[in-house]
Amino acid sequence: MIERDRYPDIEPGTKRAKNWVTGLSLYFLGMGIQAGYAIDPVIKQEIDDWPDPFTFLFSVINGPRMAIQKKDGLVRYLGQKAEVRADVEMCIKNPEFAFMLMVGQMSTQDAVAHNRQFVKGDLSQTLAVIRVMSRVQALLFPGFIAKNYINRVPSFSWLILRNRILLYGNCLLGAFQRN
Amino acid sequence: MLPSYYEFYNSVKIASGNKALENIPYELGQLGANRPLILTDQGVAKAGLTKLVIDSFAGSNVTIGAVYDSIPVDSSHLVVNQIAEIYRQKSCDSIIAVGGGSVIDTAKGVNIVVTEGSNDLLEFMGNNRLTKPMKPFIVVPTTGTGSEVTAAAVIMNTEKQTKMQFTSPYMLPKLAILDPRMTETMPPKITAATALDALTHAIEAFMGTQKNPISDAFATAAIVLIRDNIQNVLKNGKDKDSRLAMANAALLAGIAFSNSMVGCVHALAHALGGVCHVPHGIGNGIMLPHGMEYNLDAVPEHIAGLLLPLVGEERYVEIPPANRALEAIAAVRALSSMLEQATGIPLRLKDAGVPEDKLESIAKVAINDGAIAFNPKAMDFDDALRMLRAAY
Ligand SMILES: NC(=O)c1ccc[n+]([C@@H]2O[C@H](COP(=O)([O-])OP(=O)(O)OC[C@H]3O[C@@H](n4cnc5c(N)ncnc54)[C@H](O)[C@@H]3O)[C@@H](O)[C@H]2O)c1
Ligand SMILES: [Fe+2]
Repeated sequence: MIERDRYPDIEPGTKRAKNWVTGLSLYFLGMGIQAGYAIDPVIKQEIDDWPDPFTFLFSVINGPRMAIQKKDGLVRYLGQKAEVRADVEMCIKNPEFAFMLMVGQMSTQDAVAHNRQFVKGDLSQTLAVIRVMSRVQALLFPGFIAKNYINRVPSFSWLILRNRILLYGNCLLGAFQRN
Repeated sequence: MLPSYYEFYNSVKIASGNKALENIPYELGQLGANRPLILTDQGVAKAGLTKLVIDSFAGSNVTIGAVYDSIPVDSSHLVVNQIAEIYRQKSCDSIIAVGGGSVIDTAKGVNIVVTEGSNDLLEFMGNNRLTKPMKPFIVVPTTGTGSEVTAAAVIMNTEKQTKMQFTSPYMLPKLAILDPRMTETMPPKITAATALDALTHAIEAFMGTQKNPISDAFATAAIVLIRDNIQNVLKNGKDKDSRLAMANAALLAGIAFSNSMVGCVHALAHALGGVCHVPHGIGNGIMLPHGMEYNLDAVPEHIAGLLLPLVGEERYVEIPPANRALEAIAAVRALSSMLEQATGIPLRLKDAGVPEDKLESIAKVAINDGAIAFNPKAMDFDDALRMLRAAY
């Protein structure tokens, strides 16, 4: 017999704070896509090419998730709790990687290059979603921050500034309405 | 400089050289199988290659469950689903692919469907999403795509007219057989086209965002073998040594790009194949110099690094460092012109039967191709169209 006390089980630690940050960022991303469809022509043009209906799920193994749905020509952020059958799911392998992605310590391009994620579903559709997420990030953040997230930051324009203000307005309003 | 992070994986056993085919019965036994389904196509069967494989079982206790010999070029998920049904009904326990990239990729698709116990390949699109070890799978390549060592398959979706990608380490075959008898019947045009495909694999793996020291070693070794053997293999197709060297080059390049992936050139070639049925190697050959030029400002040092394997030491030391990247692109152009002269393969899109009014739809498909995610530069629609126009 082994001494059980000498070899106890070791439960995994938690990543509560990091998952909270990821969840919050995913909210802005999700709302940003929903609002971006209404106010930004680049996002609208991309999403108009998506199939209808179409559901995209961004998930993190043992972490938060975020679903976006296009249906009958409308784009909706379905929130974090939504249990959906997604057409395409992008899954991040560890909460740590998701956190790094969300705070700009890892660009989307690096998450792909370093195999920090995998995709269930049509890869070409995933690329179309990534382009929209990158555009939302370009709208949310000024260029010097956005460059940590995406590898092709659009140059400054008044349109981008206007849409940035509208986007934050929408996200905050959305948070207000939800609670 | 090392990448901040990388992954590398290759688990395929390789048997290369004289009488390599005759190892199949033993190896199949090692894998616990004795009732393989053989997959091949008409061209390969007509060249007598399927028979060579069947003959290699003489004196063994292996019963071939069935031979499916009508896989079309750029085959689709419908073909895959149909073959999976044959596998099940004939109670096969393993798969042997004998052919070029079209046959091998179809076989990978079949293995997914029969392993997962499904009827439809479309359920498994995506990367790294498969979770089960697959049925014993042996590949005998007869061209030079390197697909025998890659964790990827490209299969046509006939409804959408696009090429779907599947990647997972589980898709890797257990064994790759390189037997010089299997490639010596390849006609010159296919020899040239697959050599360009293999060259593109090596070069794109070397330029891409997943580039790493291990895949670099495979990529440069592949380029050297292509450089030293391509002329001979075209002059004398029956030369066993050059054929085996070219098969090894394709395999090395395959290991490189299975880990470091391909980029904008393949994205464009896949789109050219999907929209206009341009053969894969031809599409790559036409777009390769344009892709290198496109990536030049993003990764000049990597492109310069390709010069040594492309031209050899003596020529390399004569070129000042500042010119090396451009010289590497020139060396690729010189090689493809040589292939054009020797075999008559097209070097421009208009000669490859691409109508000019299709360029926009090709560009649109290309920017949604999975390969683009690993290109050092984010290619958008305008970039893609510009490259296609330049190659027209
Ligand atoms: N999964 C991968 O890693 C990978 C890599 C490269 C290419 N591919 C795919 O492979 C396909 C192209 O493959 P390919 O270039 O090998 O062409 P192919 O398999 O389509 O074959 C082309 C023709 O050559 C004939 N042929 C093949 N071997 C022969 C031989 N030894 N003698 C005489 N005739 C022969 C075939 O019958 C066919 O008619 C494309 O669909 C491409 O997307 C996949
Ligand atoms: Fe290829």
